[in-house]
Amino acid sequence: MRDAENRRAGYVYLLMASFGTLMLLLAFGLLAGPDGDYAFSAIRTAEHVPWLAGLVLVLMLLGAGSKAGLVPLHVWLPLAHPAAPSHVSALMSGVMTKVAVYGFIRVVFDLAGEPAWWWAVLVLILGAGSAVLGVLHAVLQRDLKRLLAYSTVENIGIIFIGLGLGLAFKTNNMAGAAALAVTASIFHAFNHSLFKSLLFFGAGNVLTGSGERDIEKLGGLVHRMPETAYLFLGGCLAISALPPLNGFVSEWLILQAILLSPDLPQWALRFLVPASGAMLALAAALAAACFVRAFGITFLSRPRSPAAETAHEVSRWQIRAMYSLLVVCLIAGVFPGPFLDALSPVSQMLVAGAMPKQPILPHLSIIPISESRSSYSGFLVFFFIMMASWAAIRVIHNFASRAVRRAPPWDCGFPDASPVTQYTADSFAQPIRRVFGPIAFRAKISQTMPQPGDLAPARLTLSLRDLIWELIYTPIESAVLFAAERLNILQFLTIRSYLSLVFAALVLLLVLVATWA
Amino acid sequence: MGLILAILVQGIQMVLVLALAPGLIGFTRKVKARLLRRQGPSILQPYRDLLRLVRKEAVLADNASWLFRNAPYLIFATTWVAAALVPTFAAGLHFSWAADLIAITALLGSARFFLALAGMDIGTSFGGIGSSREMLFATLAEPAMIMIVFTVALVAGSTQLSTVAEFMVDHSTLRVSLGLALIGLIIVALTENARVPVDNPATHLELTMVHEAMILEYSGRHLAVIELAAALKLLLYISLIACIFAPWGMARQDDGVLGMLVGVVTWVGKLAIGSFLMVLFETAIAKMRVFRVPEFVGGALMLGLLGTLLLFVSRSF
Amino acid sequence: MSTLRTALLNAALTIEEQKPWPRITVDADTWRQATLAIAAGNATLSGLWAEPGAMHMAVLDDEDGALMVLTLATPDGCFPSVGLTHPPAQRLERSIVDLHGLIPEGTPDDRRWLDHDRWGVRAPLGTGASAPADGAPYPFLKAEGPPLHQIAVGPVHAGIIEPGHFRFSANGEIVVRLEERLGYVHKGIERLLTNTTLDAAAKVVARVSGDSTVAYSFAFARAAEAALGVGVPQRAIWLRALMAELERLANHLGDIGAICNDAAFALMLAHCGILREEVLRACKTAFGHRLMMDRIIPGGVISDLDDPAPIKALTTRIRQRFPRFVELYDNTASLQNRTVSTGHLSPELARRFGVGGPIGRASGRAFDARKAPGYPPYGDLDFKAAKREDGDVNARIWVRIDEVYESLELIEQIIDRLPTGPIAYPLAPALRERRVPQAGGLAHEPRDSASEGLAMIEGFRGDVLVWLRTDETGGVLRGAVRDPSVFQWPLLEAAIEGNIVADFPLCNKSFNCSYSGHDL
Repeated sequence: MRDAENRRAGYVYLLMASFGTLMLLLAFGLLAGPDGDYAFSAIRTAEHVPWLAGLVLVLMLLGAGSKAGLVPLHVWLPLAHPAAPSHVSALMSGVMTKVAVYGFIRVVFDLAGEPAWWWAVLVLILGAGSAVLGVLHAVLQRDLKRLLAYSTVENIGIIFIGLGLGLAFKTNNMAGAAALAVTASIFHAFNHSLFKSLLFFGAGNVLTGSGERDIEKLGGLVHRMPETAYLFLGGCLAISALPPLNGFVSEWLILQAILLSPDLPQWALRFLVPASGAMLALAAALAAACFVRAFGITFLSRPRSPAAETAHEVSRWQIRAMYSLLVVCLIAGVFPGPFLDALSPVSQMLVAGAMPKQPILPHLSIIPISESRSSYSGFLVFFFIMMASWAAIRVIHNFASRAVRRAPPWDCGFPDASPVTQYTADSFAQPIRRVFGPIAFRAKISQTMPQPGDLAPARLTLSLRDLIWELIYTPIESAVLFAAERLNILQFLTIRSYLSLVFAALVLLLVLVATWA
Repeated sequence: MGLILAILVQGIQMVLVLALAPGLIGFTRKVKARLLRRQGPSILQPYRDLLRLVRKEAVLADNASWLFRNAPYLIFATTWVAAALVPTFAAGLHFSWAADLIAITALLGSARFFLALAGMDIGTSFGGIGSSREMLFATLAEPAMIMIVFTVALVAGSTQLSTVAEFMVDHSTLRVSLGLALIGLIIVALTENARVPVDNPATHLELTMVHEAMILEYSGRHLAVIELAAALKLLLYISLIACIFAPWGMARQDDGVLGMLVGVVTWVGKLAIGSFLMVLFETAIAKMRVFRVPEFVGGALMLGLLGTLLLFVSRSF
Repeated sequence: MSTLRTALLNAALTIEEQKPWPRITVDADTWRQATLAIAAGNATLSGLWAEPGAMHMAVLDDEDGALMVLTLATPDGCFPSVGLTHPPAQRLERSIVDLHGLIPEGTPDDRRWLDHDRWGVRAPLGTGASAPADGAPYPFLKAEGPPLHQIAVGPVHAGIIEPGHFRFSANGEIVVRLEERLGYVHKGIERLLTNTTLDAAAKVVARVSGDSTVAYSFAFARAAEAALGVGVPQRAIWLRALMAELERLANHLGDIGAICNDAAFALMLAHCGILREEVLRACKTAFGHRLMMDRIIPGGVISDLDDPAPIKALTTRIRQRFPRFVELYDNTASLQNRTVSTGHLSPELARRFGVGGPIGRASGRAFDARKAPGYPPYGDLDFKAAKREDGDVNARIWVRIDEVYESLELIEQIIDRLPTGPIAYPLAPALRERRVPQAGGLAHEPRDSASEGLAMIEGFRGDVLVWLRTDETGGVLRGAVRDPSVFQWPLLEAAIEGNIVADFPLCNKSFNCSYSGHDL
């Protein structure tokens, strides 16, 4: 079963990877121009015809997009990433997708010359689509690692929203705003590599400790794997863009960049940018729901299977590695200033602008544009939250009561320790599936409820079909099959027909070369 | 001297929101009772309840984890920090640069995150019901809030609430976009505070609960702290609406003690009026079906988006 | 008289003296045929009870509302299962298994029902063998599909309501199956009605379900009067109807408010609560007890209506104010949105289960015991039974609203036409004699031995059935009561279909079945 899944994952990965590489090769080929010099400096100085540069962007979106997991080219990612061992998954999701992002930034911002405004439109649409569809898939997964893989798709979408904004500002010579968007985007890529690795390590611990990655069979791990739970929770908070962790800072910066876009002259962008802002906020909120579900079902409540009941904590070293990641997440969230400053040479190079230098003191806060517009101090928020909770605990414990009594949970007077009397992951996601599902799925639900007195089991059947598979891949698949069927006859020609075909092809090529030159 | 005064004002604000929040709940209950032709408990009853709860021992479920025990304090702390950063009686709060309106929204999101997790910790079906519904509503309420913030920020040129408040005092004009934002914000406020028609704070029916279902397992001081956080959140939202859409009477940075006093009195008046209107609305409407709420809150999202789009078209809307 | 009844009478082994409808003893084949005829919809099952060595089944003739009781001797402790072909009988049979130890042959459901493994004995009315608790969990019915969770609600609820356990199997908000687990308020009514005095039995029956105390006392009185052949003065007959309508009025007002309150529309509860309170206070003034408990006794009533003014004032006030609340209900779109199409009960199921009261009448089953079989004084009163076809919560509210108006109408008619005279005949002399109404007065006949009576009264929930066997001294040998809720409870499980978890309280409140009356 698992083998068949892995084989399928491998096959899809192979196909998509070849496709992506092909697109990248073509893009580089176009960039190199007639002289065929592939050095960055040569490409940078070469003149790019606008439509050719546009073609490069499209090819880069297809190539780098498929490697990064941009919708609708993401289909391999949720299959391949979970199939690998967890530390490799962490590497694939956390780091390898960023390489594709790097490639995209390098080519589109650096090498391809002046961007046209419609580039931003394309990137924004794909980014917003990836963010929302990715998280919608993630929220419905019951395989912990696949959930994380889909969440990678979401975060890649967020990064591309930032890049799209950067392109929009760059094409309109708004260097400061472009710097903000690009810095935010790269910062988010950095953050994502941290917390996604942390989460994949956590999922790996769960797999090692319990042998399960189906969250419907987990539960209560907080008692048996307390440190993993603690670390995984940190990752969940960070990825759900909650202050005072780092995920919030980068998403906050992207939102700040969006607020600068009314100055954009193009109408299409003026409408698209706020819409993608809404999509970004929606994705962040759905991500919170997704990770409440992931953490709540996996680590909280009662064990749903013997595997979860007998789970054990993993070795110290595995835990320590994760602590280092969590600490960096916290530092990047509480003191983001130095990180942003460190990125300013990058934005200087890419969009010829930089964010204002972040003051180390007096407030330890970050300032995207100017202090009067907006500022955020992760440190103070963190400090205030800690102080307020500490004060509340101290006051109540010292002046009121600190007595605790343990008792069975409230069971409405009908004791039933069975684990089925708690929410399942599928149940938790059902309302979201019902409300948002039609965006991404074609759902079919049928229900048979026996009449009173009929002891037959009641039955609910549910089938969810991914619209992207159905609308894009299935037609391509059937077209390929159809073409293959038709071309099949070529296998059964006479030697004379083959020779004439080869001759015809040769002539065609010669004619093409002649006209091209 | 100015710094000390600024910190003092900030400190007064922090204490005031904490002190008034239970009274606000008491007031809404009293008004509701009067509208339903009942006498109703005293406005001070929530204070007595909180005092009673903190003195009691906390009963924890056998399998409650550290998260369950610590979540109430984190929920309270994040909510309190958020409430302390909303200008109530004086604009230009000293620490307002620590977090803008987006960050305040996200802070409340953190509180919700812990609350939803705490609801799932014990592993009862009621907790799951509450958490699942809460997160569903939040998936729309949060983006709606962000879009409303966008609208306001585009008008005022800042997401910093103190700056927004000062701008609104100086340039209070009728704008279509702000009207849309106001309606959207009211919807979000009703949703976030678990009021009718989204949730029923007075219900005993576990199957229909949202907020109450999540905190069903809490008792004693833990419950007290969560109740206080809920009260703070209601106060925060009414203050926020007042601060953006009715900033009159709010003290400026350079106003003296008298200005501050006027600010406090008008703020308390605004709280009373705001909660009265809320209760009036609650009395006249039944609770929605669970799957109507996304349409309701989705409406707020659309209003916020529309407001933002209008401002993208022209700054004068 | 329907062909089924004729056929059963012809197949009867003996025809017992039972007033006003006959009781026939039959053999197992006839029993089975009757069961099949009920399952086919030719008649309605109205009650099923046992006594040592015999099973009784009350059958309602849908044509004229006449009842007939079938008795099957069970010398070997078995009887052919009714529930096998007619599901509404299943819970009654399971109760009989738990209490008497009689075995329904071929029953599809052999799980315990009233016996929650806490009695220390099995079949307390049968062998009564001691049995320590085995601790086996109750096997709930299955639900399959994508990962489902179960919600276990009750028996202890957060509100002040009776105890009962509900087990939902759900996928998120989708209810895949609902199963009830009742029996928490089992009081042993059947044993309390065995070998006791008439007074004690009357008190017990009046307390089977407190909110229907008038209906129960009314039914008990009529059954006792039928068994003993006692007449009732005219004024008492009319006063009984007055009390019954006041009870219906109070309960319906309470229900309408409570249903709306479950949709968080507390305003309606406040208004209707005030009206209900006014009814109860008027009852206290008029009859000396808010719920009019124990006011109806065999032979008449114990408190006379000295001054009809408070009741008249009450109806006037309700007539002034209630229409405004109906309008409020009708005009509050948010409330309508909750009630319309929620908790749909199909007319087919309502008919098969023979469900009475507002629930049946909201699902197109017009049955009203006041019309058919009918009992005095309703034959002389002008009213029409409310009826709707939609079968949703809204329809159940509207039937109750219509019945509030109908009850007001009836109360006014009764007050206007209240006959004068005594309010009760002394029961004592009649106990040794049989008193038969004849032209020109009452004739006295000597009584011989045990006699039986059966009565059906329309309470606010539906038809209450009481069966009584008395001895020659007027003592109660055996009695059986059947609450309308018995046939309503199972349908709640069906009404939830297609609704979400959060809508259950609304469905449940719109049914408002009695736990106490069901668990006996």
